[in-house]
Amino acid sequence: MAVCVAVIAKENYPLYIKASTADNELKFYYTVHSSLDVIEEKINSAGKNANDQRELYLGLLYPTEDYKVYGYVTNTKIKFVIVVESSNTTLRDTEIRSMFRKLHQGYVDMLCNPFYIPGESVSSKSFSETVISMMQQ
Amino acid sequence: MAQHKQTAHDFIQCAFSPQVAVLTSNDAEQLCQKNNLSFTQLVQPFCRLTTEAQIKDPNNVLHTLQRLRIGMIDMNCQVSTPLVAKKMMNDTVTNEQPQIHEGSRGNVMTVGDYDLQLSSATPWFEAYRDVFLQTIPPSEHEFLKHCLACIFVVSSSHPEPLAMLHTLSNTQQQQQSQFPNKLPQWFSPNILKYYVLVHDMVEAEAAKAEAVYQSMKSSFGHQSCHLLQINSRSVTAVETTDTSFPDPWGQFLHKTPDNMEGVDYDGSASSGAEEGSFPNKVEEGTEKHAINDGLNGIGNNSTVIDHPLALSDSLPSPGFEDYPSLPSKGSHMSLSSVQSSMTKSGSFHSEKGRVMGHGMCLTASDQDRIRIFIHEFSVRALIPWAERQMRTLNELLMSRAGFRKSIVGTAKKWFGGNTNKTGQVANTATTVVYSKDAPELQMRRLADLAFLFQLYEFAYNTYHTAKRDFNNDHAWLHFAGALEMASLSTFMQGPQSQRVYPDHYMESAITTYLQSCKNEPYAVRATLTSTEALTSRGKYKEAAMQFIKMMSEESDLRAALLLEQAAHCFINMRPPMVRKYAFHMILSGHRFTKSGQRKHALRSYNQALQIYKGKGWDLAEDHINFTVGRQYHNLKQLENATAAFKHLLTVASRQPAPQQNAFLREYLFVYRQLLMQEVEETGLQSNTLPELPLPALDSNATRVLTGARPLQPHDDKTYATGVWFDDVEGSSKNWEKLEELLVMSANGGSLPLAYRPSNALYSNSTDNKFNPVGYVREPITIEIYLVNPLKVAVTLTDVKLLWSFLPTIASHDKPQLITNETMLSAKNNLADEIVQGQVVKEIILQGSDRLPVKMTLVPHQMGELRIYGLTYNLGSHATTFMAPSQGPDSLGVGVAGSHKASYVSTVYVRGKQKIEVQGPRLNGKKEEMAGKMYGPDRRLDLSVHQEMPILQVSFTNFPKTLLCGEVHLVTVTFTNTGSIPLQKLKLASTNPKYFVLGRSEDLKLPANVYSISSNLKDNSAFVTCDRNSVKHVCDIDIPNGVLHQASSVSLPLWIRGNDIGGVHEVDLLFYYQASQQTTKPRYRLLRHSVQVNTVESLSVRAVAQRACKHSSETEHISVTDFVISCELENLSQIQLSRSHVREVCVRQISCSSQRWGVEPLSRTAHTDTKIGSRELLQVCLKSMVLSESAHRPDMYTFTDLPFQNTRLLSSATPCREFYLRSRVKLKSFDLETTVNPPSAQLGPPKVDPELAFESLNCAINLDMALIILWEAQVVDSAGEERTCVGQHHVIVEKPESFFTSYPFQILPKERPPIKFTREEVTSEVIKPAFEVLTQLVSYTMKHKTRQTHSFQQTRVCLLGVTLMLQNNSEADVTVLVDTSRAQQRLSDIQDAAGQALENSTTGFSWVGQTQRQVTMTPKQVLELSLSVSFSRPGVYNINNLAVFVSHTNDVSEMTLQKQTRPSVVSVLDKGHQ
Repeated sequence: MAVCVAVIAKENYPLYIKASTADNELKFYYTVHSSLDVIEEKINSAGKNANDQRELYLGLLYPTEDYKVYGYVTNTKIKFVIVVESSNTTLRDTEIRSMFRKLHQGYVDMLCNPFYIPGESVSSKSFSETVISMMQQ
Repeated sequence: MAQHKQTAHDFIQCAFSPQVAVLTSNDAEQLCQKNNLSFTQLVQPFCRLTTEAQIKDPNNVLHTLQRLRIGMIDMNCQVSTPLVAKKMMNDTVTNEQPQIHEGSRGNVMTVGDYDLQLSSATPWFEAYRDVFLQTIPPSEHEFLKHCLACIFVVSSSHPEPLAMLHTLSNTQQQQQSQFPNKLPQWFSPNILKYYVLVHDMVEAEAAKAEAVYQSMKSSFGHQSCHLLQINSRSVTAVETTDTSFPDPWGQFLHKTPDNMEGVDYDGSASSGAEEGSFPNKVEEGTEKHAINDGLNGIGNNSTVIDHPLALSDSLPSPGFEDYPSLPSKGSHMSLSSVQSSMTKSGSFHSEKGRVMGHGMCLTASDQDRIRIFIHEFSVRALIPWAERQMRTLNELLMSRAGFRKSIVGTAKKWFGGNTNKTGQVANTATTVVYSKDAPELQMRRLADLAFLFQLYEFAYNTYHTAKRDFNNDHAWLHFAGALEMASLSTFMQGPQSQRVYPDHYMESAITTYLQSCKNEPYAVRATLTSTEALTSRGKYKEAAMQFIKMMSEESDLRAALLLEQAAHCFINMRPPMVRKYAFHMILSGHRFTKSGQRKHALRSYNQALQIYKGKGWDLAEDHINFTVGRQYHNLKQLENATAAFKHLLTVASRQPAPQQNAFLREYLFVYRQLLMQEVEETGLQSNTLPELPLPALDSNATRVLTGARPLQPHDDKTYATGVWFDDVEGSSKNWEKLEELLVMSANGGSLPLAYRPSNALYSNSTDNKFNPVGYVREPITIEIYLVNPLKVAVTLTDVKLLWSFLPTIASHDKPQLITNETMLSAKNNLADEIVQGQVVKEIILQGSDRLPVKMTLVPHQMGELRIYGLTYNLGSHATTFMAPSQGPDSLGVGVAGSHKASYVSTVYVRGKQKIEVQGPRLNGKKEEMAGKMYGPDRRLDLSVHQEMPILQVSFTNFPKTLLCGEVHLVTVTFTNTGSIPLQKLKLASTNPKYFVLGRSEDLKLPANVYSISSNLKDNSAFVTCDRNSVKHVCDIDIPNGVLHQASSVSLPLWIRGNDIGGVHEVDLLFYYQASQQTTKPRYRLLRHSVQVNTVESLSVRAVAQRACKHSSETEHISVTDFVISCELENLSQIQLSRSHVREVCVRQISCSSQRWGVEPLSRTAHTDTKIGSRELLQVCLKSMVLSESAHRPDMYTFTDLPFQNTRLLSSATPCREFYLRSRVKLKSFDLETTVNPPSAQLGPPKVDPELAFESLNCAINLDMALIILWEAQVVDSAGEERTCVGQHHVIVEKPESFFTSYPFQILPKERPPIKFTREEVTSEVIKPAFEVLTQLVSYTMKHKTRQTHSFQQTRVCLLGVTLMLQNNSEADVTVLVDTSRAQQRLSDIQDAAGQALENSTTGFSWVGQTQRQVTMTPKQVLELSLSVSFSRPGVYNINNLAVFVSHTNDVSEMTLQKQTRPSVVSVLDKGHQ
């Protein structure tokens, strides 16, 4: 399903990046990093209309030739990025949304671990499993 | 898009300016060459009109022409072939480099949390753009680049100027008609012809010129003729005059790059592509070069410049991975050959090597004349010509318009084609070919002309119309061109235009160019203009998209430049898209690399690095660093390259192992090159070694050990363990205590004022405020932890410690600091003499490994030694070079021997790394708590002192396992291995109970543990035992008190196994001093720590009971005797194939006491005293009082009770000593050192109850020790049997209770709760223990046990009983004997015995006085006569009387004495017998 899942801290450094294959990890580093610009743009534009509950799901950030990049921002400005292959047409918005919800839930569970210091890179096994399950579906 | 010098408007206007061809005669050209310029070049700076001009459009509306620019083209100029064009572009880009001081130029931009240094200007892009537009091949679909006019130039010095002009004109005519494809192309058949006569003011005659001019005017018409007078200054004058006026030509001439063959532009960008191929680079390069040269030579000759699409890319663009070393080098080579041929012809490039300025012969008035010439030409000739042309074209078209409109309009209606939709039609087969003067082309021609002369509104309308036509005809190329120009005309009208800028026109134009026409150059041109237009309107995003769209594979240089512009667009967006900027910069850098533009590539990557750096995007950062490193390396900036590669190694990298290996090798290779280069440059190797990033040192874990490594045990000898790195850190407290004790004892019982415990092992948990002390000629060992952050192994070879040494020499001149860091061999030798350092040949550090490395230094002089670093050769671990069989051996530290090849074959760099230790965090003062401050740590700053004696202690036969209580003899040998005699040898131990050190004489005795005597008779010995002699510290006697160099002393040492089974650790600390007084430190210490495993053997329980005296028995058992029964149990278990005790044989029981001796109960000899496993032996003994004369406080009598024929001397060494040690209650080890326990001073002095009632207590105080000497047969695991001997002690303190040999473990008491309220100190009346009070007096009854009585004669039988009372205490006591039953009244306790008594009283009763009170003196034995009456026969226990004792006179304080054994009387009836 997803070919790359990334969790990015509020300060825009990666907390967790997992690509389905190790070979093109560098590529996804660049892709995800570049997508931060779009995320920031989207957050800023959304932030203007006052205090109504902001939608966490940012939708399609940008399509590239081979991939589609989707974004999601938690209220604490933790960013989730999911990259899927463009050829995968079975994935619709709702599926992506549910993936993000799952990811968010996994992240929150991971954060509940009292030994995890927020801001450190994520090394939780169960979180990794969540991510890997999203990639394998 | 970056900021450009030109505005968008200017740029477009320049890009599309009216072109005019120039044809000069040779003589005119020569005239101009005096100025170092060709004619076109001469006039070029003045081609822009400075004044406004007027033009009428076809509708006769007057327009103002602003700053009209005219492009002049030399007709002879060879139009650049695609290859040449490519080369030119490359050169221009190469030449436009950012200035070196980028910091000063770039402006700092803060975006979010990024601080970026950007250089907003990109002159190389502008230069490229200009060259690109110049060299773009013309196309049939547009007329913008077609020459509108031709200027014919002759000089006045020509003999036949008019004829020459005609010839020139004809040449032009001929070219236009015969070679329509030859460049330049002409706008229309009847172009404007303009005739110019150049007149040299100095050389030629003015009159002749004037005449020729007049005749020119008459033959060509005065409108199209001009006399241009130049060169007012003679060439000779030029040389003398000052030439400081500005050179207007400079900026227009193509700079001839002198350095273009230099390092920064050559095609061999691939040199870093293949690892390891560096040494072969040169040969490979030349090979390729040769081949490609040949290939391209052919290719070059055969390519005829026909069509733009036949462009340079006969050379395929290579893939991403291998850089285009081959093609770019090839193309470069062929280009330069083209170049050289061109320079020969001298038409395009100005000649090389010319240092002269331009326009030297032109005065200011000459320049004005040129300006006037251009103005005249434009206003008088060109503009009117254009007006005329437009008018005719317009009329032509208007006449056709009506007809066309009807046809096209209806056709459209009928077919309803959606062909109007632009660009989307995938009809690639452009079949439409317009004839030269097709109306559609005429339309286009008109539009172009209007556009060139700034009639934008008109142009737009015309383009729009043309666009529709082309669309209908599916003439896609024409269509795209029209779209492009339509959109540009709108843009050029500026903001006052009513129309919005139709960027979708441009969009579809580009798409059409690209997709339908495959005409990339035009697409690029459209992009260039379009993006310029977009950015001038702030539409950065769209501009960026257009740039990215052009990122084709065709030209890497172009792609790189466009991507860079796109990146600039992203950063200019609001809000800026920093990351996209970075990403596109990387892409651009990549393309620059591919096109061989190394400097630009490097710049791009560096720009991007600013954004990726330090943000945790490791992979990306690594990638950039790696690329940057390579680029630096290619540009021979080795220092920067090294720094970039270093980044890859220092950070804990997430790269996979092979990648890291590549990084490491690259780094090593580059670094090595750098070092070699430095050596070449300076001619010398630098004095200081470079610092290396690998491996990481865990500096703070560094440990320093002074002193030699303890010897390993061999044979039956073990050596004192000393101090080594594997010592447990926590045990140092014990050692410190022992040391304190030793120093106290050596110092007469007090600690010296400046005492501080010495230490030999310094780590980060020790107090390192003071310098460690080393001694001359004694090794200092440093343990350093090497950490490899990489996943691949690295190899360190020739590892050495770096140190600096400040000798303390007793001379007046300042000592010189010596270090071993210098590479000069001479100095190094000197350094080696002072401090000898160990060199570790090879260390292989596996990936992610943490390895301790121990290295020693031996100083040979006194002074201050500071260890500050580690030097080594760093190499990658070449697994491929190693034979597979060496795999397991090479793990960890290996001294290179077998696999020396592993480091020989790899590249390595010599460098160093510093060890910096950090002291403990300070937390004392306020500022220390607030900030982070660290104390000093001097563990690496050693002070080397003069030589000291070195004690070596060895033990022979030191057992590892002992039975509990086993006594073992060990010989201990003290040797002085130092060169100075030692004295005052002392020994301290944590547990002195379990060993006895004998004197050297004892060694001469037979090797038995115990001394044996066969004299069985005299079985007691009277020996002085000083309990105080047992201390933690003991002195060791050495003959003469001094142990000289290399001499040794052997002493016996008996060890006894601990009474408790298990593993016991005994720490021994030896103390000694040098024989002559030395400065601080005065003494030295040697540690020995030993672990003894004790196995359960025997357990002894003993109880002493007061002997009961019977009238019938013999005399000598008095009331004071005790019967002692011992239970000896063999606790060991037989375990097969493991060592176990087979049986224990009790050899002897001895008694040691001040008052008591032992005797056997029976006289028969018992020899069967063997106890098997888990068997119990009961032995009963009798104790007897010794004569009073022996009663002295420190005198003990040992009585032996052997079970075999021989007697072991229990009073001899070591039996006596061990016994003594078992008696001594050593104060807890911790307490001994505290001189004044704080509790002693507080509170009122308490009366110790033990002391207060000593006289009473001695009543039950037995103080008798039984020593059980045994012999055990032990079977060890090998099945061999050995006999070992041992002893157990049972101390019977008081009668009637059990004592065991097994020491009771005292459980730590729980602390009482802390009370905060003051407690009332109730002054308790101290009473002696109840146990004591009830046993003050013992009593027995003496009577007949059998009484025959005839109850028929007398009803009552009377029996006399003697009650024997003995006062056990040493005080006067009052005794009350109560025979009545009234005892219950006195006694509060109604015990069970009393009940029984009550029941049994029916048969007998005491007669006579019921109560008797007597007073007894200490130890007095008193007899009282009582009588008892029996009323019937039976068996009676008459012991029912009560004895009350009071040690005071107060009768109410009487205490009932403990009931002793029953006294049984059998009363028989005589009558019944």
